Amino acid sequence: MSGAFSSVVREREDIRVNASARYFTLFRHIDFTLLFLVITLALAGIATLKGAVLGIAALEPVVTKQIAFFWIALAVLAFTFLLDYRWLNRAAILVYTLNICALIFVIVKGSSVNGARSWIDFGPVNWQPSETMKIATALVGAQWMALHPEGARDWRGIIIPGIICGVPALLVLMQPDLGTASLFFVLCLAMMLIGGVPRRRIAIIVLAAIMGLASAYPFLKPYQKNRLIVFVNPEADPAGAGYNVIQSKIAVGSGGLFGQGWGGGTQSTHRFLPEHHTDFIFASFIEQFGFVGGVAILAAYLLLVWRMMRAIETARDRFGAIVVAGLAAVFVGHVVENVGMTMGVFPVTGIPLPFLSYGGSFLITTFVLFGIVMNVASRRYTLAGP
Amino acid sequence: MQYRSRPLRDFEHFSRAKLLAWAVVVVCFSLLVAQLLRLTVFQHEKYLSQARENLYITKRLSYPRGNILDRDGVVLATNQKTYALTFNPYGMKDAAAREALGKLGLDETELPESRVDEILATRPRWTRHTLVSGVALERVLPMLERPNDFPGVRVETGFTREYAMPEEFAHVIGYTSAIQPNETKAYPRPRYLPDDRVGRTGLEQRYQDELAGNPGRERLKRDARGARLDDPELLASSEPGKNLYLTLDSRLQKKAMELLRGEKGTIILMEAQSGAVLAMASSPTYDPRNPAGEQTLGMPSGYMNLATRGGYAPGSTMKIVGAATMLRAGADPLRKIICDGDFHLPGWGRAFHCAVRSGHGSVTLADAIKESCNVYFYEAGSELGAEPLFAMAREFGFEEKTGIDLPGERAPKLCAVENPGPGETTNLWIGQGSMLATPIQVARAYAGIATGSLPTPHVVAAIGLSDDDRKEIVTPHRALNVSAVDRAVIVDGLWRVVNERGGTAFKAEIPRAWDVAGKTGTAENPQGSNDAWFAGFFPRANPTHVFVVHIESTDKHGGEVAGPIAKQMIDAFLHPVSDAQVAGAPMAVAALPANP
Repeated sequence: MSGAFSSVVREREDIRVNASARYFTLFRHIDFTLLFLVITLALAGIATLKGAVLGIAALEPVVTKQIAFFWIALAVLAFTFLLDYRWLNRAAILVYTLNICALIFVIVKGSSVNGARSWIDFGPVNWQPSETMKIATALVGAQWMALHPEGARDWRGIIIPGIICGVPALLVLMQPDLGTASLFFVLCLAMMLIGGVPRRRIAIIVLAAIMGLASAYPFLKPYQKNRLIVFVNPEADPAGAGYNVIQSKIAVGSGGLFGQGWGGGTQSTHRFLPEHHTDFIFASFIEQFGFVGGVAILAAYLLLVWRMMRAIETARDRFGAIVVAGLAAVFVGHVVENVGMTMGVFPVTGIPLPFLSYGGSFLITTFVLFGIVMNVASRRYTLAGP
Repeated sequence: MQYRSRPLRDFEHFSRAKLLAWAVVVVCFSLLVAQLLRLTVFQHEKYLSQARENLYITKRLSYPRGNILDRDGVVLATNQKTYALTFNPYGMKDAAAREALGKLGLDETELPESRVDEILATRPRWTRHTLVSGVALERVLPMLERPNDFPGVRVETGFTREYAMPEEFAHVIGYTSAIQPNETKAYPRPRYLPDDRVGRTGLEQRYQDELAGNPGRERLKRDARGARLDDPELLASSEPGKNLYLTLDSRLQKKAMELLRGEKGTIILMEAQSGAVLAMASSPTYDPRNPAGEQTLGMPSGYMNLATRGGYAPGSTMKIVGAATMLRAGADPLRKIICDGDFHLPGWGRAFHCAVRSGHGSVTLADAIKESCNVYFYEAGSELGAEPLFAMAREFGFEEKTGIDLPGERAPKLCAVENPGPGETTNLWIGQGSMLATPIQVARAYAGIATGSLPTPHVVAAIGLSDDDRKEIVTPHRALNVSAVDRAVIVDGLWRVVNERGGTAFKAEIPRAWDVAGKTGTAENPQGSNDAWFAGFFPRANPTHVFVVHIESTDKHGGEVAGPIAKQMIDAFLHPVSDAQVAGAPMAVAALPANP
């Protein structure tokens, strides 16, 4: 193991290139596996979406919209990739502060969707600040941890990232959006882990959080309590809160080994599966492509995780490593929570599935996330800074 | 801002952190794959069938209940097509739903504001709220013609029961009402649905299965919004309800009810040989279209069919049983007894009185029947005791159900006490004391004495889908174990009751040509007044019909009250008036169309 690392370190010190060769080298070091996976998954997502809304006239425009968003997202990815991530951290504080202001704004007077105030309505375009907040938080958190490697060893290693992640988490919780808030928690843990906070302390934090959550139960909103009750027993309210999970499990289960084919599946096409093009797209995907398709898509997600792990490993500096760690945690959190929710393993929280769920701002955010990962991964060698 | 390059320590730390991170990721993904495998492979069948259940909705087909017709084919009960409006606000905003409801033009009593709030608060995906039901076609025409103007609204068709002579036939035909929530086990799906109407009493209840038939089902493909997607697929076609063809004659039934107007009592006219009932009137009655308004004639217990459910002291009508008992015991019918108006039971302080206080003088058995001499029967009772009387009464069908095809028939005990003492026994011999019988039991017993065979009274002659499909109902007979000679003696007495001066029914002036034989009865009832009876048959020479008249709570003798009523009833039977002369009933009957 250490042999592989030392070779990487050696490489870094050996390579000297001039400015004109810089971008050439950058492109040569693009993580093509990652890029291929990202684009393939996004296209698979569009195909799944098309199959899910096939025959539902009211929903068919979402495919065209998603394709448009895909091109925008691709451009944003290119931009995020080209900009050296060390520039990103300069903008991070600004983006973070802006997002905090936006979160406060949505709590005061945002648009409400499904009981949570989380959107800012710009007419034709809606912005959900909690999405961009995740990336900004990863950047700011990583910046502090990178600048204070010794801090990870003492109490500041817990307190400072805790505050950086805790403030947006609390604001998101007030929307109220328990699912997104818990993503900030996972993000914080991942940054601490990679940043060098002792694992024993992280374990204590996790335990404390579980106990805290249990004691916070009486203070949850009624709909959140309801979701938890229904999570334990969906049949308690089959026509109401339990409906989504029941219908989602039916969709997944009826997919079988190979699925009912693209555009097939009565749960989606006859609209028994609610939110089947957004939050519950995975159920619709399984209904179409079955267990085999599901394993394939999960494997693709796992490959992305592998590429991100590799980016952490080869990152040129602590900042890069910790940013990617945080973003990887956010990504894994999204996948596990969403897929788990559609199969009744986790409570229903309204977290979309990367690449598959319909939604422009979410697709763009996902591409920004992977743009940063590629950015870090491609600049793994010491280059003369821009 | 310049970052330091990563110290080697970082990588050593990372190699351990990476293991932990991978472990967490792998555990999570394994969990997901395991659950995915469970749902898609191991529970695939279950979820696939649930998905199909989602997709299809089976709908029961609406179809009419069978008709009920009298012996001449007059339709007594049929169905009227009615309409209901249902509403499903699924997928509608509150304001839009309110607007849609407002367009229906329902007034405050039909759709109060609280109901609107209730509808908007509970929004079932598939089940529909019934707004109004049982309305006529005019009310729903706009919704049928322009359905797009009334979002969420659907017009459902159903049937309500119509009765041609509701109050006259209420006790026989009964009524229908909606299945109550606690009855869903007795009336299970898919044959019955919660709002269905089922028979509650009378023939509607007794022949519920035949009248209701078997509903068909069709399957519709639909989506979550409730939209129907394909043409419905027929799973099972309806077996329509069967018609009941009654033995009853609506003209005679109407006449009987007229005769009972203002009284509490019963009239039965029955074929002596077959047991086919021509008229069975019970007063008071009720309106089966609105059974909650029970006390139509201002008297309580209007729901009860007194002919089959009323237990009364049979009084002197029971003397045919007493006489048969004596004759079987070997008594000489010509033996004379001197009646001085009183009977003294040995060791009993109080005297038992005869109907005529001054006494009947010297009487034979036939005289004792004709003049209803109690003393003749007191004497026999003190000799023979209660047991032979009970045995003979059972032979005549008392203490058992007659088997009439109406629900809730009673068969009261002959005597409320075990081993009655001498005083009670003496009373039992004249049909008093604690002895009880129903009018239909009395009618059957008189059919027995008239023909020598006990028929099973019945009101349904045949059942069938149409006049061509009639299946006649055969009812059993039981031979009456009383010799023809003994019967002749008793029948002679019964004939003299009506046709000889001094007979208790002579004053009713029933024409001798009708050849009626019968027995009056004046029974003391627990209320302290008398119940009047007159039971008999005609013509004596070849008995074809049995009649029973019973009037509760009168202060007169049986012959005085029940005799004239019976006379008019028999008159109506023997001399049918042409339809034109009977105002009302046949016209109303003609106006009622039968089911197709």
